[in-house]
Amino acid sequence: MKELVAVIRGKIFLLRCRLFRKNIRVGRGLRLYKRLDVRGEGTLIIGDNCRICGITGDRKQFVTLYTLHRVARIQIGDNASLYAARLSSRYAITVGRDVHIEESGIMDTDFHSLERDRGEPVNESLESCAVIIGDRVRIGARSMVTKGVRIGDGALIGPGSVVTRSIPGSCFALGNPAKVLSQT
Amino acid sequence: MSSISKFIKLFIENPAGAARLFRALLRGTFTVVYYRLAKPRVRIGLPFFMYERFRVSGPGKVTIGKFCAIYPNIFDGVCIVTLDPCAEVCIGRNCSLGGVTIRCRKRIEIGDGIMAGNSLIQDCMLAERPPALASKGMPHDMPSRAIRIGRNVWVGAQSCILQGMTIGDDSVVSLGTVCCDAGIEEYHLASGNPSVRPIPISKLIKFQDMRR
Repeated sequence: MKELVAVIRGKIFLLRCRLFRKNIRVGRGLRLYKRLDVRGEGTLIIGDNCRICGITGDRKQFVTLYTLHRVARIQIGDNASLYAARLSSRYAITVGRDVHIEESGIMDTDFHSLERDRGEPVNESLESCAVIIGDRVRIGARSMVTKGVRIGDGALIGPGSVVTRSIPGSCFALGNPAKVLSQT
Repeated sequence: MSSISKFIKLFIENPAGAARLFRALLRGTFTVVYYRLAKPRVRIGLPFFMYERFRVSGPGKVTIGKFCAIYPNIFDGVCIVTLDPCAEVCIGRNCSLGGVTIRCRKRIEIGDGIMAGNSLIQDCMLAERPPALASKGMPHDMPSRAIRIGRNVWVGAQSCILQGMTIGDDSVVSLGTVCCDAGIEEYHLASGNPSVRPIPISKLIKFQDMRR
């Protein structure tokens, strides 16, 4: 029953995107178990067979995908499952295939500058700030990924960690800042 | 008899607080009765003081001792999720929990007299198992290991206690600590993200006295 409702909600979302929101491209077989909150004018590409779910046991029960600028771009690969994840992009966020993200934030900008007026961030560009998350990456609950981070294929980020530097593939990282603890 | 006289004394001194306590007790009793009838695998001892909302979900077993209290927290009520049919959560007596989220896949044992803030106790790295990844047969998650927390432990807010932790009696897990696969001995303080070396509290108190 839940599966059926999720598939129907996904189809309705796809239809809404085709008709009204041309900047969103959705693949086949999207399943919406919980609400998907999309804002902004940037490009959003969702691959085939993605699952949008809430995390069991917390009140935050929806996925947010925000694009903060016209040139911003969020790309999510096939078979991704997002559990109450929050993505907000000013430049580009690329998420690979078979990704599993739980209740964590991914952002590719600082939103403000270090100056006292807290204005627009300076020295940010597409090359230095784009976040790239590889295939088969798993990110635990209550963790954060900040700008300019590359996470290699098959990495596991533990719960509660803050990723500020790039992480190589197929390893387990934990902490603030996240450090590689073991290879898997 | 003495508890009734204590309650009357409290009512005279602080009527609003007594009313709140009475309401919490009523709410807790209703919750216990509901779980007894609807979900027999959840056993909660009476009296159960419920100032904030409390939820149990999932197919596993949950046992909570007598005189436990769910205190109000700025974030959320207590939520206990069992992710597997063989999962087991045991919480001792006299615990005061506020805003704790417990996600259990194997076994979580919590001793008597715990104080816990808005924290996460989880005996696996990832709470969910998407079917698309599970069918491919790759090692999706690390194998979950049981958590054991001793008596009279103080768990600070925003902390994560992850799989394979054993925490001794009278220890303190400080604010924002994230720890996994380690043992904290009796009467030690753990801090940091990830927490590396717990400090004995007796030494800490001595150091404070020296500074004075």
